[in-house]
Amino acid sequence: MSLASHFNGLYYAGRDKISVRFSLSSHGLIQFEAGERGRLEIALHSTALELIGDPATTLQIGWHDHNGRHALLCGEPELFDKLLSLNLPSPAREHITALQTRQRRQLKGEKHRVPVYLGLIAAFFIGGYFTLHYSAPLIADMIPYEWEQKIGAFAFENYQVGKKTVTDQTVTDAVDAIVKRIDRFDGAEIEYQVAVVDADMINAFAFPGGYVVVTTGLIENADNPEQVAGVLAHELTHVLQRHSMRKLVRQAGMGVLIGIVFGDVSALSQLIELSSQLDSLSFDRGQERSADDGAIEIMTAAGLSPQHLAAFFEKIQKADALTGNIPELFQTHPLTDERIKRVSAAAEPAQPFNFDLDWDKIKQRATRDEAIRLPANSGPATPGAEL
Amino acid sequence: MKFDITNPGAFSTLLVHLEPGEAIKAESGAMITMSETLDVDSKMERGLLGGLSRKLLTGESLFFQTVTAARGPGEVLMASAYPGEIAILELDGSEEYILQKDGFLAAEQSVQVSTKAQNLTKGLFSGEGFFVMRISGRGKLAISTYGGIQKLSLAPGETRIIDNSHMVAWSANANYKIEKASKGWISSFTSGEGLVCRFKGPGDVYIQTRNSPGFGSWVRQFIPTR
Repeated sequence: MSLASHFNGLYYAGRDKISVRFSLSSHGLIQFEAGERGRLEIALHSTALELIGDPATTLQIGWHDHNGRHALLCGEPELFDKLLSLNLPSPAREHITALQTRQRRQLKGEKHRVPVYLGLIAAFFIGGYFTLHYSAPLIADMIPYEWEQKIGAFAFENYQVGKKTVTDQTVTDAVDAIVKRIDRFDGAEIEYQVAVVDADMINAFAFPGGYVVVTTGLIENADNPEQVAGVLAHELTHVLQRHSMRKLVRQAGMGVLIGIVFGDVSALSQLIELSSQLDSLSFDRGQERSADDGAIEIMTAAGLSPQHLAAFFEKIQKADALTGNIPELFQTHPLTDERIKRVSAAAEPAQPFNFDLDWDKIKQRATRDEAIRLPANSGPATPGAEL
Repeated sequence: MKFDITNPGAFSTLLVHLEPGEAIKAESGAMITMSETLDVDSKMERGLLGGLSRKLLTGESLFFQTVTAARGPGEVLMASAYPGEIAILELDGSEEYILQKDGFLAAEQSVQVSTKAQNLTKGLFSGEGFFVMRISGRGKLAISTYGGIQKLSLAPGETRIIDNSHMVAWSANANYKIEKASKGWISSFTSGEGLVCRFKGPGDVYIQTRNSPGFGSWVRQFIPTR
């Protein structure tokens, strides 16, 4: 095998450097032209070999003389083969072999480091996502109730901006009566605030802290107040079980989570900023199921038959099949046959209760134009306060 | 091809004269003005993966600008986004350089730029981040700094202590270690230096005379709080 005997290197004499082409003879003599310094010859045995650099892959051949320190640097791996082909004493050979192994390992490690880091970054984000996914419920539960109320109040007010609110007392009193009935039996001490918003979409939602929105579309499409009560019981369960807070926390990201754990108030303002998304967050199947269960429980306790909720679900599902339009309420709460079956199978309440309301009249008034006024900012500061 | 520094000082600019057919690559957005004989184009250096890793890891742009003298000789004037000096390095292929992530301004096409991952300690404490640029090949390279630029040449075995976040470019041969500024941890931090980098020669280290995080925290005290 013929080995190269000339290599490219960088020669340092103190702080001066020159790039050189040097040769290594079979007797271990390094020779090169060093510009103004003329031809230099150094015996290998009078030098010290060391790997330097980042990564440590450059071989430094260093020596001293009366002028100070000198070094010849070379990064060519072939130089090691040439060095090992020389007739050197065994300690020197061992040292060179060790350096060669280290150089190879470094070169390999360097090649892999960028992909490894990229992998670690990806793993960090994936890990972070799952941590967030599973720790969100725990962290949402750490949010103090006052925060929840502030977030809800903001989202509630924000939702009503640019929307028309129904002020007709017949309508608001009716919705109030429905909410009050649920309030008595929901097993929680939350004071609800309600707004009826004029919108054709069939929708209702409850923001954290007990802020409830009902659309005129829902009132219009419900056959009786018990159906509205069923939908609201479902929505309120999402709030009571903190589903919406969990969703929000999941949207918020790591920084806010840490803020919540340490009670940092700036996390609150970030959650408030995110709260405008609350009405469009969708829940997962497990959360829908538990909200249905909660609705059944509240309805039964309040003397309302869960069949009303099931009937409303069925009505909507049939309408979907005809028009192909899924009402907003069920875009964020996907309606499945399984859900309808579960609700229909629920037991009837022991002491039935029916609202004493003229529902047809309420429906009529909810959709009348004069029942509606322009939104929030022209009225009282808290939009729900008049109810 | 000729690289010249014009407007030397805090707001220095780089003037490059190109002969027909010559081209340079530059930091995206660096061009200020150029002759009408030149074409500016964008190119992902080292392909999509190389571009992406540079974008994601070093925070540099996904694309480099390529300025080509397509229709005759011409000149292009360039500068980086922040105030500071520019230095021109002549690479002869015998030495590679490591460049901090904002340091690249422009280079000849024969100069290669790739992403290099620093090890954990350096990534966390050097002030340069986990990813830096590795410059190899031959040709002219223009680097930009925040503040003035100073070259320190180290002899073999010579060591030099440099405050972290003041390094701009250094020979790949000159390795450094992170260490505390004083003997004790407390005095390291109360001295205001915290961690420093100990470079070992041989090699050249280009340092900047100001550092942007330091400037940031100095200026922050004058910003009125809401």
